[in-house]
Amino acid sequence: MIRLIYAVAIGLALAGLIHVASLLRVPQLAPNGAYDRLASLEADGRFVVLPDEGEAADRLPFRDPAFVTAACRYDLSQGPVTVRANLPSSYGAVVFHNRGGQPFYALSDRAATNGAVEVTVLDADAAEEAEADETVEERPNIRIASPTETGFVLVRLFAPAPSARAGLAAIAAGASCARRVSP
Amino acid sequence: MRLILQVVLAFTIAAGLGLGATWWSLTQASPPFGALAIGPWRATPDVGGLGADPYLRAWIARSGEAPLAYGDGLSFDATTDDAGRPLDAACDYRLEGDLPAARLWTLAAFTPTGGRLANPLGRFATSSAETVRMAGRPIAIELARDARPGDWLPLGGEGSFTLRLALYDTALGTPLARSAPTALLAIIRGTCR
Repeated sequence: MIRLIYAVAIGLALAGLIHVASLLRVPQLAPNGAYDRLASLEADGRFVVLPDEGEAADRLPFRDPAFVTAACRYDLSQGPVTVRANLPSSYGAVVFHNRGGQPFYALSDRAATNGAVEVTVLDADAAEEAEADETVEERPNIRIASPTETGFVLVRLFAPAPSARAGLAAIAAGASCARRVSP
Repeated sequence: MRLILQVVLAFTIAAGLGLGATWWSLTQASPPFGALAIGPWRATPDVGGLGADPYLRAWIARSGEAPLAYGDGLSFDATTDDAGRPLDAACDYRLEGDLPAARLWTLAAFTPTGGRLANPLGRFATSSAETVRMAGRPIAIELARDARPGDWLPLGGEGSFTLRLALYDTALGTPLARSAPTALLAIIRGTCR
């Protein structure tokens, strides 16, 4: 009897460990995260506007229909990526998400200079190097370190009326998300 | 022989309970912890940053959603009306009240899995830019299948749906505002068919 209780106690303790371990692995193993859902959009290294028609409109669940959204997936293994986007003053935001879909940095049109923002995404190592190389003459540039090697950027522009969507889609598609040419 | 049975028992309990708890916590309709509830509305402000707890992180990855960032906005979901009855596309609803300070807000209806609620007009959302405000009167939005005077958001489809109210550029998600939340729109059910 004592040994049976002992076995159950060990089972419960192991259950706790397995619960924690499996929970921590879910973001890496989840097959249908936002990053994977954007794969069929062919938005690697460039911004593609998410469609508003048909099934494809629901590619990202709970996406705000009042916004025009463009997405770009990035991969930092080949070097830093610079994101440049025009944000109209009717409300626009550039949001950086990690591989698991969590946002880690956002800029709204309030932070834009001349209506545009420019942000360079680096991985943690490159960010440290860039910090050390910083020269005063260089023009100010926003640099952020991505917590994961891959991730995606969303440009989200508010459409005050349906008639504004076409123009906003053109602005969103005009955003760039290119690998930085080595300085 | 008994030892082997006991080892098997221990491992069965471990695998069953451990994986079961993970599965259960991630298949709930909303993240298990950290919710900010205002009336029927639920938000999880912590989704907006890297400070999210492991449950929330796993939940985001599984849902496939790209949540709003901290400085961007905060979204509230409602799946019931003020009386606690599940929202049903066969009913009419009236949303009434005032909203906390925000640069803009949007309101949209979704299927429980996050798809747009199909409607013949193809109008999926209403926002602060589209609604009419009368001086000294609260916001009032009608949700119905047929057109209504005033501010109207068309409903469509069948069965239950989720309402999402997103506030952009708001201080509502900050720890200070979280402790003393203001009221959001009341959801009042009208006639059902």
